[in-house]
Amino acid sequence: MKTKDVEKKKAALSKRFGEAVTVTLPKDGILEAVVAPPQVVEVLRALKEDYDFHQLHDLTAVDYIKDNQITVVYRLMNLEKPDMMVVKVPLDRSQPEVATATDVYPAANWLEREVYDYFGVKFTGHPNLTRIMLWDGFEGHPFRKDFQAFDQAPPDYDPFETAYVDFSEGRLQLTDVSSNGNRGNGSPRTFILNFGPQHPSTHGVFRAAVELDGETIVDLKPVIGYLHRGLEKIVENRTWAQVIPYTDRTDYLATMNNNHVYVLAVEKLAGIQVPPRAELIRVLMAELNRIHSHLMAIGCLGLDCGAITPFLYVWREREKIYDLFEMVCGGRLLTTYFRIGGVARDLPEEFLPCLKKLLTEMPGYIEQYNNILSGNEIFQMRLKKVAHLTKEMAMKYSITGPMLRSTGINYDVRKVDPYSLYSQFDFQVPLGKNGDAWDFYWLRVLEMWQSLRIVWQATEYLEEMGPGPVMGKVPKALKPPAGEAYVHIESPKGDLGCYVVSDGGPNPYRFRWRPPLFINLQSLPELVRGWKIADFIAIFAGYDAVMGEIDR
Amino acid sequence: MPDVTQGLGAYEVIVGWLSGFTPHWLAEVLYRVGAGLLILTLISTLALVLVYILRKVMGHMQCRLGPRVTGPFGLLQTAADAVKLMQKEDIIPTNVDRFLFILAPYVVFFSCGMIFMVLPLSPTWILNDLEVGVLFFVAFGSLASFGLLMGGFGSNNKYSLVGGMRSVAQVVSYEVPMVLAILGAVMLAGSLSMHQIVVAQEGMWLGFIPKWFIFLQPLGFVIYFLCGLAETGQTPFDLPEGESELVAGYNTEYSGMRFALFFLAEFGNLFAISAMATTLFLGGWHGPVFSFLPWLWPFVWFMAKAMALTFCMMWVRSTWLRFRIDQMMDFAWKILVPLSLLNIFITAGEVAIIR
Repeated sequence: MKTKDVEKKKAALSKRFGEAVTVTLPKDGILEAVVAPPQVVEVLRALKEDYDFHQLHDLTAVDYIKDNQITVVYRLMNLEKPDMMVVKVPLDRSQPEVATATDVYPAANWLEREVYDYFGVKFTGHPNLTRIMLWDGFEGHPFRKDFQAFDQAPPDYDPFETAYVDFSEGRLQLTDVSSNGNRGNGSPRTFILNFGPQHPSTHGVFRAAVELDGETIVDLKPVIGYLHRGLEKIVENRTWAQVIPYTDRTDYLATMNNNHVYVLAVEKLAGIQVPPRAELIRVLMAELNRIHSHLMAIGCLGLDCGAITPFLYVWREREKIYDLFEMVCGGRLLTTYFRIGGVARDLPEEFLPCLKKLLTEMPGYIEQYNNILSGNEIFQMRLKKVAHLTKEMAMKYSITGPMLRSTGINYDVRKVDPYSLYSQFDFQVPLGKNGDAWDFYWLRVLEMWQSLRIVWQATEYLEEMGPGPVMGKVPKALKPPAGEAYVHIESPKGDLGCYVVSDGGPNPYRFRWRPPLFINLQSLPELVRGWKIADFIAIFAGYDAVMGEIDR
Repeated sequence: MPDVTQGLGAYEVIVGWLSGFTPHWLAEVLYRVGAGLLILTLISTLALVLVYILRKVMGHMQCRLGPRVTGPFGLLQTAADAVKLMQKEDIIPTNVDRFLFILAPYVVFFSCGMIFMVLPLSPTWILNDLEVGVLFFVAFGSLASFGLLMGGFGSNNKYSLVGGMRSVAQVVSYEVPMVLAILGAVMLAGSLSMHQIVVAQEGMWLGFIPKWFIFLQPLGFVIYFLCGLAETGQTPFDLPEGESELVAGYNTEYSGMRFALFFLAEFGNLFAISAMATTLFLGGWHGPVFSFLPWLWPFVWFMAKAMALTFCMMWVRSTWLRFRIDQMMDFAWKILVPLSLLNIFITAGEVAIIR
């Protein structure tokens, strides 16, 4: 039935747009449309309004230097069905220019800035087309294949000067504000407070310039890029197998999940079979890591509301999970356990008993957090009915993960697009109702219970299955055939995607990480406007932001 | 041998002894200087002990051990911290309002020290039993917020400014229910003198219930304790220095000894509030006096009660979290103020029955 649908859609699209759109159906069943640049906005609008692709899943670009093309790749998603569609727009490499998609999909804002930053693609009509990761004085666009890495001098100007630029969008004008207060022409009631990048509750190096009226937030401008390491660029110079440690360093609280999406993508690209035992171990590890990530999320949320003790409680269980990781791979924070074609080594003998001990203890620990944190009246007062995330807003900003589910949209990649072995596990997807900070928090607690169920089942399956190989047949020097693959998984933070393009060589031609947090974070200003400073901190903690993933 | 469990012995005894070999005016001056030094020492020592206790208590509540390396059981840790703070460079940022910036920690510390002057630690150990002791306590308790605002404003830092403003808003709001709660105790005792209030709580009902005011007005005690938490900026009212929001609030720009003064005052106030609650509601120094060192026991009881309350504050600190600013204000004006008024009516009825 699904293929029939796709065929129908394909025919309708070809008929409607004629020559401008070429629709193909690659073997993974995701409809792909190549659109001529002038028609992009029109096609996107039609896809959104008539074909229910409400969400811009991803927007990126690939530099095909041999064809003299930079191809902008739009990935659209219909969350209800669920259905995905790819729109590719080949642009002339010497003068890449395309109309902005921000009018159709507001989430395209930062994504287009990122593509502009990396590839120099001009999105005409974009509200604020400036660099987002690299600094303003940077010359050239590093992801172009002819970019020379070492002809750049480091910036020679005072960093304080640059701290006050890049605010042309919206109403915040930091230049109007002197250190002694508001001497500009702005409203005298408000003043601007600069949160971060060094601040106790910015979860790394997030910076927000906040316009305050007393304690109330009038406007907020997120500034990111302080932890940008150019991971996506670095891996273009590594072999396929060498990429795995780099994926650890994006969202460093969910390393196994990051490994997972990358190896799945490469296996899909190269057509590598994975032994079932290895796949089972992967699911087990990924779910353990989800528990770990959510532990940190709820602990930090408590800490940001002023509760110190729950944070140290979660630290205790975090250690136990880290001990398990250490047992299987030696690493604790950065595990690098998964391999293309399997996992690095089989589980040691003492692993399963230790895991079972943790699993039996864990419900008691979660009850402890509920006693000290969730049940606290002040905590509930602080979070309930704070920040109202509606379904429309979640769609508008392409929000995924627990935040999306807090609005009541039932979208969990493990359920709707089962990857790995998830279709064989019995678990539920907890949903929220109000889309407030409490739901952001509470869903994470509920998801930990579900992850525990999955880990239990995985343990049982493992024992039933008995020993077996954990590595598939992978050539020593992996050279996947030219082509591309996209895999997305449910990471603790949201819908994490990995887009790999191969030119048949030993290195990835293009490696794109779809960072859920980067895309979620665009909604922050709208979510916190009108709330108090303390609410902003709580809401931001609800994103569970890890700057390593946002800035990459 | 003078009866040391009754009356105010210290002033006459010491001044009389000093007058023996110095002119009377010098004796008076020396007594006051000595008293000041005593308070200074008391606050510093108390702060050191309290910080150590806090770290141990919170440590054990948070599945860790607290300081245990420096000295036996880590006892010297806070002393080492104090030495470190004293050695630190005294940094005054360029663009601060120097006058306010320098003055602020002293104002805060001074107000804390003045509170200690009227605390009746034992029948003989009260530095100055003022007729209006309670009023004096309230007045100097709220003076601290001036210091915090000065620090916040003078720092020329927006976090500090917001912290200072929060602190003033908080102290001004919670002063109202606090004074009303204290008023209940004052009505029962019929005096504003700290000493008289404690004396009024002497004896037992039915031979086993101590005549402490907490049994007559438990509501007043709860309100006072909550307001005390707010006055000293303890969790859940630690908004002025809420770390996750304002970095460190009013003392963001302070370091070294200036920061230590804020710190000392904070812990001094922590104890002062507990001591005041002990005086007003828990019968002050009253408790069984044994024949062994009879003059020491009142002091021991007082400290035990005050420390128990301080422990409760630490308990709250490691369990609860912070209010939001509007919730904090709502709590003061919509809940505590009506309740404290109710408390006054109840107390008035009790006074009518008892007298």
